[in-house]
Amino acid sequence: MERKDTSASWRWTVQRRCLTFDSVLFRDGDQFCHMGWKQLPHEGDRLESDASETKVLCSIAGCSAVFSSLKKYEAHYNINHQHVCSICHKIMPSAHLLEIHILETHDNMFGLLAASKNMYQCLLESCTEKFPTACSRHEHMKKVHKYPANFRFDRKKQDRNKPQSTSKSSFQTSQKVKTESYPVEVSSLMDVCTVMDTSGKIEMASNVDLNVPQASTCPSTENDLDVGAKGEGNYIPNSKFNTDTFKKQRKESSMQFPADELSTDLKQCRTEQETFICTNTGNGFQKSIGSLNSNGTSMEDCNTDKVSHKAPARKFTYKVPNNVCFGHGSAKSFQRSKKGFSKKTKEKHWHSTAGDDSITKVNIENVDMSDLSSALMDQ
Amino acid sequence: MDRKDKYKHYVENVEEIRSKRREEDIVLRKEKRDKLISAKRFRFGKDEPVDEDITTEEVINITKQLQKHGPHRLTILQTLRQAFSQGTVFIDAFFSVDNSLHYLVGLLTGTDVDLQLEAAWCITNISAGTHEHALAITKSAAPYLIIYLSSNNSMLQDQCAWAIGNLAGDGKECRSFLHAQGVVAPLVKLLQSPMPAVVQSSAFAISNIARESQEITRDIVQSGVIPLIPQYLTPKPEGRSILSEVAWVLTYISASGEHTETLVHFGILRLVVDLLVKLVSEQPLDGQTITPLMRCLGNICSGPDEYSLAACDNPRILHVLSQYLTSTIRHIIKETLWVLSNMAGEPHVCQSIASEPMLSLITKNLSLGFDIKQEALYVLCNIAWHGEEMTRHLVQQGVLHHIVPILKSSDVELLNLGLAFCEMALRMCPEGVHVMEHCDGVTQLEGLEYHRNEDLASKASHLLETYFYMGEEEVEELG
Repeated sequence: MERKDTSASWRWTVQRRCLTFDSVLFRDGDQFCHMGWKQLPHEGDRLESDASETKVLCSIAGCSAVFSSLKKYEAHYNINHQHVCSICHKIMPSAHLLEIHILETHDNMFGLLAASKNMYQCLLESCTEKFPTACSRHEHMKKVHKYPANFRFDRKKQDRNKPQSTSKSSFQTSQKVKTESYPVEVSSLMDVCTVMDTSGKIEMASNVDLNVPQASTCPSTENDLDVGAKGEGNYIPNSKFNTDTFKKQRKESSMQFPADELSTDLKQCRTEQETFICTNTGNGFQKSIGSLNSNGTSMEDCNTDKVSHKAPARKFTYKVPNNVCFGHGSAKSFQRSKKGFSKKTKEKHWHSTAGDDSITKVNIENVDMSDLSSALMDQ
Repeated sequence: MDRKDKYKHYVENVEEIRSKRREEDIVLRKEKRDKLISAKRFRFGKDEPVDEDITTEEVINITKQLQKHGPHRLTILQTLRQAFSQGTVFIDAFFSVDNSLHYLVGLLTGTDVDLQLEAAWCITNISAGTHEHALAITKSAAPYLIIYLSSNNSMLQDQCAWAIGNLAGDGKECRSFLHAQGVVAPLVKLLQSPMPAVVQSSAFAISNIARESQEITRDIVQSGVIPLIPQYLTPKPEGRSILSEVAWVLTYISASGEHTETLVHFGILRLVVDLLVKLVSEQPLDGQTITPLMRCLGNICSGPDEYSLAACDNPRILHVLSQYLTSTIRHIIKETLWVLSNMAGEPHVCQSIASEPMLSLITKNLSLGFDIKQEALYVLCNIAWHGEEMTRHLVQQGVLHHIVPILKSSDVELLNLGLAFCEMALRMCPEGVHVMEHCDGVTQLEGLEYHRNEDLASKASHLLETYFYMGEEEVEELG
């Protein structure tokens, strides 16, 4: 009988195994190493400041910051003074973004060139794409590079007062994030500015942001008010508007009310922008439905928010204007003096003034109660 | 009806309850394991008093206060980041306050450098939290983190790299976001930084981001990471933490097999081998560093034979590997065996491996735990595969004696390997039959004939028929 050699089918051949990170073989080793990794305080990291007491003053004109060490000064300089636009003093975080800013904002030729070819380049250095409009570039950043819609370094100066739009994508994706019902925090967000839209910039339309203070079902914190210490929003004292115009415009126009928490370091920027804004008073507003209720937000607002995004002309804002009084907490709402702003008007609202403005006919202090007391004693 | 399924097991039968329970167990076990293998790191302050008693209400309170202007913000941020590192419940509390994240991002992009750094630290610790936390950070803060990687502030760079590392360690979704946001190029550039802390954080981030995706790994290699690595492959103690981080990066790069040539070209293979040689003499063994280096070597040697040969350019490597086989750290033994199995594909190396004292060390491992047994079997099978001479040599050295007992085990993988070796021994070595009969191998094979696994059963019976029942057949023919 022949010996059938069927072993050929399962005979061993050499096996060289290339294993990836999830291989079973590596599990023990992973546990070993990760056990050591999991809580790794960094050693020797914090570059401790020099022991010396040297005080370093920032040497840039207009900046009065003082530092306790050279390193801190260096850091301050790097952030605040290194990539600053010499024309509009806007602070950019990197040379690349500064370049783009100067090119797009301050170069007269740019507008002309942009008409004929794609000039708006992608904000990432590693991506070489160019686009015909800022709007299309913005879409590219959102869709391809997953940037948030309210990216702080992609705003034109004159639109700094306009909050940027909540894009559909970030709005929707942010809904996937676990949302919690946030109590509507109204107190710190009541800063309101009326903002001029430079009417010519239609292409920024879709960049207009919807500042949504959190309603109970509005998703998370991403599409938010520009509460930035950077001061990208601007506070404009409302002295130029009276209540009437305001109320009318509330119904018809778009108000973008960025909140602002201006840091003290931006004095020069602020004063410039302030003048800039004020001179633009009266430029056209875009239409919108300013359905503000006193809470500044509502469910309908969120819904219409989505709807409104399709029609770029309608903008929403949920900030409460400066001269609306709530009664409760009103003292605060009318005295938001930001440092560095000269108060155009020193007048206080009638709620918050002290007693001598009172127009009561009778001064309670001077009333003579003797009649009353004698009447009572008769009993 | 609706309320009923809120309590008790509203299921039809016992089977469903059991399967439900099993599923829950699986999920729990997985979570537990995942926690251990979590690739994220909280960052703790060094020598700082930790406020252990902070409550969620306090966190909510101070978060609200944070949004007011003033000098207290720095201390608030410090308290917050300590709280975050103690538990994700505090991160949840933070998120429950309106606009908290937005404000934090605002501080990150602001002009006060101290606040910026603390905000980045807070963000680092938040991104070490749950998946939702990491995703929220990725969507709103990550582009800024990436931009600040190229700032000139090294502390900020360090912190942002760490945060990005945590985000990347969260999972595929965050990783792909980061990739789209252009994280690779600036991160690789940071490897050139003169600050060791920055290098370490960026290596951590790179290794986390390279882990799962071949595409991202390709990008990383294209950004020129490999030439930057050799300078860190040094056994100096002060550079040790950087070395292990960089070694992990290498494991992920080498795992795909695409970049082996580039790795060898830049001398990485030689450096890794040299390092392994130097590290073996340290007491105690630095497992954190040796493990990734070993894996890198193993993956490179799983390629063409020339690399295994090139690895042996350092004459001490095989001796060193045999020393690792006796280490006290169990997984190092296992992974060393794996490396040897890959190297054994090359004939010359194979000869060296099959000689003493290496061989007896390998054979000894056949009596250890099943996973080590398995790797040892791989080595031996690969050796035997080379031909009659090798097989005969192995049998003469008594290897079969140790393999036969394995045929008693219940693990299918082990049985397959054992049978494969026996097949080669029987086929190529004339004494094989005798040895097997002598050490009771026939009985084992017969036991396997009726194994549940048909594949195994057929293999076993084939061996029996081919090598052990011949005599009977001849007798039958004659008779």
